[in-house]
Amino acid sequence: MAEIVIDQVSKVFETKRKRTVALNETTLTIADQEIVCIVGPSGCGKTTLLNLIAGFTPPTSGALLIDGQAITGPSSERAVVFQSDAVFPWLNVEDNVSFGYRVQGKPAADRMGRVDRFLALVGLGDFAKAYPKELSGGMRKRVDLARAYASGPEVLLLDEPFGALDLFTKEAMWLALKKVAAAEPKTILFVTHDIEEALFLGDRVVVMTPRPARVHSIVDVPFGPQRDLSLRAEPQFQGLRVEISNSLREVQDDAA
Amino acid sequence: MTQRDVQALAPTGTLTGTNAALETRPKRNLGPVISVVVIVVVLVLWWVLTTGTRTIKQLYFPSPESLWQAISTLQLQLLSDAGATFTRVFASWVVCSALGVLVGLAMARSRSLMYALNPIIEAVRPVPPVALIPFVILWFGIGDSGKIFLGALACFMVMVVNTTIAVTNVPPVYIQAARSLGASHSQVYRVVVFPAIVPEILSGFRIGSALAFAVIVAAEFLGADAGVGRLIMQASRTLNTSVVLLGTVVIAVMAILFDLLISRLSAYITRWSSNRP
Repeated sequence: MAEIVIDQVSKVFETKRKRTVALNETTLTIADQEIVCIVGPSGCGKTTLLNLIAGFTPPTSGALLIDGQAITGPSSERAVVFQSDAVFPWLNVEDNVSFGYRVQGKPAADRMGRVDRFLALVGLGDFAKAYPKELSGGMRKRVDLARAYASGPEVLLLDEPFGALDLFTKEAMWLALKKVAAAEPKTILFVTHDIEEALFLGDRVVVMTPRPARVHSIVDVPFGPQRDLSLRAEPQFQGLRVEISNSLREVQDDAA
Repeated sequence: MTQRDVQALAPTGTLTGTNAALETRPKRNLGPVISVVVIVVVLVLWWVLTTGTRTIKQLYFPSPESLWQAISTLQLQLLSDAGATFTRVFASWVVCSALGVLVGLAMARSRSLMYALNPIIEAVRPVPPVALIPFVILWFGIGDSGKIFLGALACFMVMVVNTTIAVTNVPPVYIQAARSLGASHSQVYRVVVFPAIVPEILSGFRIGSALAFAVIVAAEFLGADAGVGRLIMQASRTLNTSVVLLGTVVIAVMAILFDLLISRLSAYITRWSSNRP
């Protein structure tokens, strides 16, 4: 069980020269096992919000709760997949994926079964002994996803994880994520600037305004858990895509 | 795709010490051939200029033959001097590489330790260790311990600075990922920071060993009971230039072999690194 409550959260970055309000009294509740995608113009506080939930940085004001417990720092209950390459190059694929279990001191017996399971789910069963330098960018992202999942979190936070990938690799990653999420449902927060990605993956899509960011609107995605890539051609999908891109244009214009 | 296919696709360049990404076009590997040709040309040129045409006088640059004569006259003394120098280099290198890494890691971890030690290190670092030789002879005499101290000081400075910089260069995303996967603060040091800086530490070892050779031979010049530096100094007093040249050749050979050993070992240890062939 993991319900995320973001209540009137603000984050202000202060340097000697200037004061930047990255997040302004944002309120949002993410239900247990829900997949919420956050879209917004680049430079808005999307990543800041994710870092706050990850516990990498504390909020300036407001409350962040997981199942009623305040977030005080990073924890293995909230795994993060980053935009940049965060797979450890000195460990082979298998040791990367088992990293979470190892540092948490969980029994070695459970560890290998879990590693094999998630490597198979992301389609890297044959690469357990390979080093990251031998893999392509898309394959390293699969390792990253398997590693986050295999560490046994309640919440998965993804920060534009597929932003640097080409379209076909990206589509394959969407399906991989859908597959692992179906195998072991988690509460997932997915930050992106790709509207199709958000609609394809999310149960809800949250549109944020430019800095200082707050929630502009929330779109319910009515497609159910089983989705395939042809869904994107459906009129209903395209209609929602236009609706969201209109909202994004609106918030951009308001800011300009 | 199997794992073997992937390994076949992985870069397989064999150039060492150059950045494979900077190579303009793929070609047959002529590197080693070029190196051997240059060495042979230099050796032939040496013989031609000295023994062959006598363009260069024996005193200014000894011939290959006179080098050989020097070896047969010195025999065991050469070995024991080389042994003395190498023992000093190795001892100082081992002690201070290890100490330098440990202190560097501790400084990177503790702010107050950084503030306590950094001014001292920054003050001592720019001083050429050779400048301390008069003190070292006063404190330690002309035996082994003074030379080891000096070589160790030089290595230590390199390793401390190298390690603290390497720690600050660890991508923050590795640390954040480890924390969100459940690693504690102290675990992060052991399982992320340390393995991430191993390549930098190993290249520091190479710089340190070259520096230890330079500093220790220089210290032997200015007063020693044994060592290649002392051998060179004594020979230079009698203008015995073939022994002087022989001494420098011995130092070069020892330094090159030692460096080769370290670089081969580090290539094996950091075989995961994308900068390695």
